[in-house]
Amino acid sequence: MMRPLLSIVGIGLCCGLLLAGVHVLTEPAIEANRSRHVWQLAFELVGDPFDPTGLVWQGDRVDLPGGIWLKRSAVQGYAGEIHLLAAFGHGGQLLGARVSGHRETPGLGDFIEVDKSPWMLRFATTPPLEVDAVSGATITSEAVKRGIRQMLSPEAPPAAAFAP
Amino acid sequence: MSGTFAEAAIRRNPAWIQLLGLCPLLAVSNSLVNAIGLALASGFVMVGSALAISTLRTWIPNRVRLPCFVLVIATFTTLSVLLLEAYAFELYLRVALFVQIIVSNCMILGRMEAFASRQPPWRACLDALGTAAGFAIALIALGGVREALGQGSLLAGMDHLFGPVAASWRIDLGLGNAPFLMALLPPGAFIIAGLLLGLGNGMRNRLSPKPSLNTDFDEHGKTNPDIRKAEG
Repeated sequence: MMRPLLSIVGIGLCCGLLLAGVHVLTEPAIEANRSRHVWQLAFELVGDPFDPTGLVWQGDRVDLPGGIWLKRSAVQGYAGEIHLLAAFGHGGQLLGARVSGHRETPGLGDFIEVDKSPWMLRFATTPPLEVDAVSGATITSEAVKRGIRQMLSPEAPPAAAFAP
Repeated sequence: MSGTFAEAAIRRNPAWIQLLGLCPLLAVSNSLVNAIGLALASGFVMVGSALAISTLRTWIPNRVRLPCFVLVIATFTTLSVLLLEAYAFELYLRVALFVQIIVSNCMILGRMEAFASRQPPWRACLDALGTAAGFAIALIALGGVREALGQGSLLAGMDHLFGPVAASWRIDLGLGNAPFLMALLPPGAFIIAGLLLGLGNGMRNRLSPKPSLNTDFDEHGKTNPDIRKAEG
């Protein structure tokens, strides 16, 4: 009775150690890649490249030269968190938003990537509540809309989660 | 020795003969670069898990072998995601979601159960390499046809995989921008995969008189246990 348990725990431990080791080894490279990716998205939002060295995130916000600031947040999507990045101009006007990371269903929920669909571009011109959700991926759409609304007015109580 | 490899790659091609692993195959094969990326990741998980399971096979009790296999396969899948994110970030952004579902690819679990858990590491490794090569052949064939028909190009975006040198590898086939858009969409994947499967079966029937779909049976009509185990 004990032997199957012992071997499965042993194999689990070995797997865990291996994963932990590789995680420690790859973490610096992964962090660098992610922050480079976020800055690239920021360049797209702001329109022209700026020098990100010396800029530090204060919580969820970073101020860029020229009165523009970036904000990031995470909302619960259909399959894990959706990480959002938004740029605001003078007077708190939303310049645009991008998704910097997500685990939504491939082919169905990945329209929130600008490479795949222009859907995210609408937030630059339309108030989030007026952006149409994508059928078949309502939870993903509503999550992104909710996230952007919260970034626009953090004081407002969070919008009710989508209930089918 | 090369028999194990060829057997796994061609005669028992996981995608075209055993019809395993079709979900990632159809989902990712809309361009050559995605196809090659997934083939490499699947191959890494396949070979790593086969070596680990074959080495550990005497310590894995029969009753809990499936949880152990899943544990090992999940570990190697997570490793491949971590390595992709660290060293091939552009490709990670495009194929990461599909690499994560390698863990549930029955092609891999099937080979672990039917082969790696009963054979010494070097044979398990050859079989895993063969299966991975077979899967890669299927992925690349489908990816190539779909990219050519859907985008009118070949090898576009290879710089995501092989660095800036590969940016100039793109071949324009002169068919316009989107000659047959459906090839890129899921229905196109099914139709083209079916046509390629039929083509492969037809070619095999030409070459050898044995009916192709009866590879499950040996000449005495008995079911070959090795293949039966791999189903699922």
